[in-house]
Amino acid sequence: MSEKKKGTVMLLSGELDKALVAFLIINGFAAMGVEMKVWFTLLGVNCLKKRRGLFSRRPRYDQSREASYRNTESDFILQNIVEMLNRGGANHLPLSRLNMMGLGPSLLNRILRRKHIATLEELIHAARDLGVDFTICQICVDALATSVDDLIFPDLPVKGVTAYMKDAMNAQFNVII
Amino acid sequence: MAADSELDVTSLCCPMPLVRLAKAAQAMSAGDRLRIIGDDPMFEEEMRDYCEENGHRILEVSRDGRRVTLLLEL
Repeated sequence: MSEKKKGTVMLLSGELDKALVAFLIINGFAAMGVEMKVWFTLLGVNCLKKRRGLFSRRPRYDQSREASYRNTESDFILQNIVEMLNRGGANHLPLSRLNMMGLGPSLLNRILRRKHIATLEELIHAARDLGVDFTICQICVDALATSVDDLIFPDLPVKGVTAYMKDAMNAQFNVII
Repeated sequence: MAADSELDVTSLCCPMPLVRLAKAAQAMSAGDRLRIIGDDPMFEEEMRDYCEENGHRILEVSRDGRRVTLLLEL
């Protein structure tokens, strides 16, 4: 066979329907032997965040480690409020249509279970098992005050646009969802 | 024909049969035979595409209603 095919997916939206389609593509392509790399930007990171209650206290992570990939000294109160409201949990993300104050996602998950279709969380873990590369965009962790220790997979690399450019230009397939 | 291993992906929906097959194929070596059983409407077509893309051969196909059994040579 010729050289290995590559693909990149930039996941920008933190909506269940869009993230689900993104991960269906990622899993299908990765299983077919394509080397997939996924970039999580802004609300896309919510797929990887742990589910927390609205008022639950965020654990104190290692500040020096956090300072290695983002400017912690310019953090302010607004970011903490956004952090609190911007809740994660792959299967609990809102829908882009028919969200109905959170009823929509639970109805969709019920349909998926009934039809034996994998839910978003299962797809994320399946993608990771297949060796799909996950990368977090630097500005979004900085702007949304996200800590990489708060994600379901610790030790994900945080990188900037040049790394994305290199990956995307080497790939035959690139989508932004 | 005898298979080296068997994989049952019945009741799983696209793309999970493919994901399971890819995981199983990683653990096997070239020339091994794998019997795979599935009942997804897209199952047979997906397996044919997978084999075409990765250079595997389909040795046997048997259909029982929606249930399709394929014997693959990796």
